[in-house]
Amino acid sequence: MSDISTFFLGCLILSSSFLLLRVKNPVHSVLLLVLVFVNSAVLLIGIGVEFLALMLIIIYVGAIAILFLFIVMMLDLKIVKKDEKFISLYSIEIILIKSFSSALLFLVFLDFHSMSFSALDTNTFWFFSEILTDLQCLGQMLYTYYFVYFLLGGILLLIGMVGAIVLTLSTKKNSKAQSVFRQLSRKMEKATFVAKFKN
Amino acid sequence: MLLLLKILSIIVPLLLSVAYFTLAERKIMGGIQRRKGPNVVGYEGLLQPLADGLKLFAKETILPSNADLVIFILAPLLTFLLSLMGWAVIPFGENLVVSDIKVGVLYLFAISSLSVYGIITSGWSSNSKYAFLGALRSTAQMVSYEVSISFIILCVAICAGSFQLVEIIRAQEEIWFLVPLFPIFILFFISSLAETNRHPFDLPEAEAELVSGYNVEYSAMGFALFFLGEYANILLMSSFCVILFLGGWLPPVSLLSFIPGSIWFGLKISFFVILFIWFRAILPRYRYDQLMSLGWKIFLPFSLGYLLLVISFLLSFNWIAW
Repeated sequence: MSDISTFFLGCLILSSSFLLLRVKNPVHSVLLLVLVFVNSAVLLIGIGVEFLALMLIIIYVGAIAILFLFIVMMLDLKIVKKDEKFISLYSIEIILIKSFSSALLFLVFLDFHSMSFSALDTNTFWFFSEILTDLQCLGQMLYTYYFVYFLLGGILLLIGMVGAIVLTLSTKKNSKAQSVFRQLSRKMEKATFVAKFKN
Repeated sequence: MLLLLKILSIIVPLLLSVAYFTLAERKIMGGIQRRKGPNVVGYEGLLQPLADGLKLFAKETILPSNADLVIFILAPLLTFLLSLMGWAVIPFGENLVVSDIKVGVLYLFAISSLSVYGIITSGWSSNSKYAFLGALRSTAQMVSYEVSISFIILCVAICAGSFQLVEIIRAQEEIWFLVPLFPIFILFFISSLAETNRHPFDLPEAEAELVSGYNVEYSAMGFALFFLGEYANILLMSSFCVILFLGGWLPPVSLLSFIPGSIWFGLKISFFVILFIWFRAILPRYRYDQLMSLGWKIFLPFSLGYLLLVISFLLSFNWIAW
């Protein structure tokens, strides 16, 4: 991937993420978020990690951003108008952006490749990445060296799911929902009877 | 230049086959309902799709006054472009593929999950109740059936030992995956019906309640692009089904291998196309809650369980392909 196209993509990502914060219509800002994700996926494809890029598109764009869009569309949000609160929100936003971007710059100056974040030494990693495709390499690393983190991530997701279900589950006793099983298992003998009248 | 020629050599036949797909749909449905179907324009109606296309091209483009114009115009373009993009990785025959990437299955899956955006943005931007409700229904349906499709794809990828489409077809030289994985083949076909919003899952289009779903406000070329994108997606899903379960370009018996692979591929796609049309003619529409409970309560657990079954089967017989 040439430097010019990387630069162009980076500019596109940065400008759309800036617009994301500044646009007034919330639906537009979710669509810009999608644009940021897709552009970063293209950037990842450019540096040769197709699997992660496609996973980014499938999971973040195909599922999570769709849910964001759903919620934002159904909430009936009014377009934000400028008022007194706006200024304080604006300053908080500026502080957040500045701290985040300075952290990023710090990371860039630190030189990524010299950082090894765990007991695993980087030589093994480069050895794997030369003989295997990126998908196989990821699988080897994830299930050999990082399987504890992988399992922990799964448990975290499970807790989130259980929490969401507990928050929304409410069993009503007088609910009139139809149960297909009960409807289908009705027999003629049980359903019909001769009523007796007393004169 | 060569790349451009390659792209054109896929897009032009694709658009032609979409046009004749619509004609085949009307003819076959006519046959099922004991009428003739279109038979006036050209010989036995063979020029009917061209006439339809010309009519749509000559119509006036109407832009609703309260619509979000940029998104309103971009949405059909997005749907159409995404339906064309998927064809870049489809192998039509031995060495007959534009780009044979290592994660072709995931690419197709990502494209199909992106195509939801064309629908939901068109429904939202036209600023109409019917379009919005249709778009919400359609999106919810597509997202929920994608989950079971992903597990089904994983089953096939584990049997083949690769995400590469060509490798998946090569793995079926001994036996098509249709035979050992028959239950999830049926599941995949039903999910692809739901994914492409076809009968019996065409709730987004429900003429009776929602007029015609997310594309009510579109006219002329906007509508034509949605229409083309929808039918190209149906063809894409059928070719995906052929690649995963019916062995792509491979002939059914090796005696017949003198017939070129692309002809076999086309024949198999036509089989699925006829199935799609047949189902449209004979099946009534599902209710929306039935559709959702089918997707989440039956298809998802079944495909997840089948994935576990396939993995443990392969492990216990030491048949894992890599």
